[in-house]
Amino acid sequence: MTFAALLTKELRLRLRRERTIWVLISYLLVMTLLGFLFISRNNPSNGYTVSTLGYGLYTLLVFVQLSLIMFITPAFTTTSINGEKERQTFDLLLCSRLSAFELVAGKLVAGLANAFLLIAASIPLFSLVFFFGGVGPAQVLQTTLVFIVTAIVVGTFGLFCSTLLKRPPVSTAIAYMFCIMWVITPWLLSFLLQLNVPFNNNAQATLIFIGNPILAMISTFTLGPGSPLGSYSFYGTSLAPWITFIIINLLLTIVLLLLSVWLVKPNPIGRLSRLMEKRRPKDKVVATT
Amino acid sequence: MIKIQHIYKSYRKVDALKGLSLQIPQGSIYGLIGPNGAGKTTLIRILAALLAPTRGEVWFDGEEVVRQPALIQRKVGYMPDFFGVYPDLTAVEYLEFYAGIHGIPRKKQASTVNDLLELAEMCTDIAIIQGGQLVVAGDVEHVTRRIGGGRQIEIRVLERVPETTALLKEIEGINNVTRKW
Repeated sequence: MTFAALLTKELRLRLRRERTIWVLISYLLVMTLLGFLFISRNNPSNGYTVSTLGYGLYTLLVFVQLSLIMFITPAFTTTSINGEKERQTFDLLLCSRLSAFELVAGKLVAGLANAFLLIAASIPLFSLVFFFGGVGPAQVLQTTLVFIVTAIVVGTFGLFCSTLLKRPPVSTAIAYMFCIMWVITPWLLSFLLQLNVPFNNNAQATLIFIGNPILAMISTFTLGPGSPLGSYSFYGTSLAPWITFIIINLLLTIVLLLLSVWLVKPNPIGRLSRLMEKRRPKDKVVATT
Repeated sequence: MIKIQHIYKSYRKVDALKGLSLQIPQGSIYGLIGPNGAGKTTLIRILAALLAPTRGEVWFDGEEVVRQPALIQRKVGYMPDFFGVYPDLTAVEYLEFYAGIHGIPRKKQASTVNDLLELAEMCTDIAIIQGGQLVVAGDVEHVTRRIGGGRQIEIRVLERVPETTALLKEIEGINNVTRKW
């Protein structure tokens, strides 16, 4: 019940802000405008068939949406905890029946609800692709899963920064830097190490790209037989990159969530050292007045 | 009962508390009086398990505060001298939120909130319960940022009423009605 109270309050506060509706409107406008420009420039007179037009539109919308999710989601969580501290309301949350997990989970769910609202709001736009054809429902489902996991990872990292760092601008900057590094680093490394990006049977590239959202998203596209992207192999089971992306990043999310739960309560280092030391027998105090 | 044994608290080179010992028996009322920087806030934050002492021990009803912070925080009512309010919640929503995170069942929240608002004379003609639903108007309906500073302090005090067992501080700015309880 304490969790429900926190979640209700968070959702009320977030949805009452003018910023929320403007973010939603801008998000849909950007997607619509880019989609409209794509359709108006690539028509059948340019050699496009209806199905290739649909496939091209879908590709464009998918990568625009992925970029927007990575750009917008951190903003929903990077000030969740340190914002409460700055507003001087955090101590009052601590002195309640909210457990550390409920506190962190309530903040995370409320932040992610905003991100999922954006994803849900874009569904009608994506459904336009089915009008043209060229994309199957299974592919759309895989793409949606990658969107959701990307939002969860980025949101959880933002929350982790918010529990770790005192100042909201610093935690926001660090979270955005993580997003950029998360996307760019594997491509940069593959360039510096001169690895083949389409990495069939290349062990180094396989490891470098294992959690990368861009590659995971590319792997959801039907690239035909003998796809250059290949697949990951775990104990004889062959897994597509988007599946390994989901597994690896959900594990990362759990680690970040547990760290946030530990850090959110006061004196985390002291509690850790007390946990390490042998629990001494409790000395009950005898009341003396 | 609260038992404080030789506690020290240092912030870098500044000693906020130096070897303080104190026993507060159950049922008694204690006031901490001192100039700014004397360590009053530090002591209260340590008692509320929001801050760990550098040295020494604090016991609350036989439990060591640093070992059982969650347990202590459930027992303690804590009102800081400076506090913020959530800008877009009404007074009723604000109190319902705190009632919720303090474990008051949803069914009892409306009546509890109404009682508290009556106590503060905020709902003399504005809070009516109809069919179990709290129907509100006037001050209570305003979001907290539109309510004056004194009123905000009242709301903050009220939210502590159901749970307060030990600590209350800095009651400047609260009207006489609220002060009575």
